[in-house]
Amino acid sequence: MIFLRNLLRAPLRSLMTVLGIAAGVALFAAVSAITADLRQQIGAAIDAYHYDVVVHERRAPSPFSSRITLAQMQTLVDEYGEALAPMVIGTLNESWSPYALVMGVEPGFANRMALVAGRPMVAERDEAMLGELGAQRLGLQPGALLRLGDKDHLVSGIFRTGSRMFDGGVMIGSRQAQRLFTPAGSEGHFTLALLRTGDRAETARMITEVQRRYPELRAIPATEFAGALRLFRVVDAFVGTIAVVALVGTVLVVTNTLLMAVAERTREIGILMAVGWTPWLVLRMLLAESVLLCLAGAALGNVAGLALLHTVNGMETVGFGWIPVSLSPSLVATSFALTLVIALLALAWPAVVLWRMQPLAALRHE
Amino acid sequence: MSEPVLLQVSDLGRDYDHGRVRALHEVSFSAQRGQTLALTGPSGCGKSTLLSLVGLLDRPDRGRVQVDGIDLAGLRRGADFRARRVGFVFQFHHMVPTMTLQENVEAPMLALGVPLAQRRARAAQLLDSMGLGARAGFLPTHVSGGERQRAAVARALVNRPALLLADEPTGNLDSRAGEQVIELLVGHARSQQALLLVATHNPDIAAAMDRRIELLDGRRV
Repeated sequence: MIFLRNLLRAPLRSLMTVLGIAAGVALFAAVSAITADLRQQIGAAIDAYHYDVVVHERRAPSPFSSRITLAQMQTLVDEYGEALAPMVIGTLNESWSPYALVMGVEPGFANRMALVAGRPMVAERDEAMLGELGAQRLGLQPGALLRLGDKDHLVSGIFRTGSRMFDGGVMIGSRQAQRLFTPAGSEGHFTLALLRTGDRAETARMITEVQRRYPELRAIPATEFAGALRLFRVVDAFVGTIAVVALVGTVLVVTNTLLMAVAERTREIGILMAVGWTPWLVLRMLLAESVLLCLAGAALGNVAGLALLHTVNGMETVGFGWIPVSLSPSLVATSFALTLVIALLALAWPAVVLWRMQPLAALRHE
Repeated sequence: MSEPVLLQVSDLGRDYDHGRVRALHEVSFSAQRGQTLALTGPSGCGKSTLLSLVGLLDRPDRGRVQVDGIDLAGLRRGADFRARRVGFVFQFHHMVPTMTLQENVEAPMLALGVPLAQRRARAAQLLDSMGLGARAGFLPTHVSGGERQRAAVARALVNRPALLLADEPTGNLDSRAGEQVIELLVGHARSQQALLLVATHNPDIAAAMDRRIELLDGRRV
């Protein structure tokens, strides 16, 4: 364990390097986990409703900013009837949640929701159904009152979709939702529509038909909904940027540590060269040190990333219960693989120094 | 019948500081296997420079060095030559402080790709023969100066080199420990038919060698 002894010669420096790597890994793991989970939650929710096609405004960067006019929705309803589920989705800043997710649905849709308590809402009566997680957080049961905008709504039932995002929200009638999200004097609108088709061939046919007849709308398979959102492309670019910055920063941290090690141990390297070691062999010793630092940093970084997710999830104003509190095995594996790449990249500069080192000059180094 | 020439040094010269300091002026000599040679002279006379050139730690500006008929100028990388043919012993032992004595002795074998089990066995046997068996797992900082230097000799001998180069190997030791080190080096040179080249100030050590080459201001006198 020569490499371990070498690292323990400067324990504080080794520790700081491990912490630097861990910070980069934690950031990468946490941000990647959040975006991957968000994507998975949207997919899971759409899947839970058993709809095959999502129709939204072509130019909308996110589902919440999509606007389908009442007239457009009426023609869609006339065309597809019961197979179509219009939805109004938005968020409200309420006293009980600064980021309350509200879904306005038609009675038929509400009646099909899987309930864990109570009964489906009667939309015309200012009733609401609460997601299971939202109900747990607020401590509400069917029969309780929930304030939305300037009206109290009777909680008629508690539903479960399997998506933390939607199970933390509230479901009300689409008319009530339009009133909540539309400024006085403006015409209400829908956010998106879900369409049930039956099979894949029919899905493809309906997508083509919707896009031909309504050029301002976009129809996509439900399975591709999350990936097709412009918001997610922006988030992906953001995550990619963070990953690259974290990678470059970590490479520089490890490179600096290895260069300091080479500078401090120049005479020892000279001794090893005098007894026949090639620069490759010396580099192999440094590689072992670099890998050990990076693996320790990756392990600590994943733990720190997990702690970061728990912390953010616990922050009511930020996490609102949507933030995942676990790291997938593939993400953990990716972070370890990335740190191994870092361990290799960090050796580039020390390798140049080693190749230019003359044994005699190294032996005489003070 | 005399042994064949192992080392041939011809008109060897080395300058430093862009030619302003001439460390070695056209030195020539030859030596056979099994011989022991003392390089003597005052400090700065070029003894260490000569050893560095012969051991391929450095390259000459003029002249050439041949070992077993191989011109060292033709070797692109000196590492393999040093690992196979040269054993160095320095004045200040030059052990790697984070390696145990055993690991230090194994280091030259690692350069030749000797399998682990063989490395372990050979290093342990050498350390044992030098009375360091019980100290094999110790770090150099945890043993005496004499023990460190004996371990350095073990490291120099471990690949059975044809050329043993020792630069003031007893300069930092008391007389008893110094005698032990010289006995080990000379004993190896005799038994393995190796050439021992010792740079020394010590007239007793010089007298114990077969031949003496005296240097003054970088020239052979």
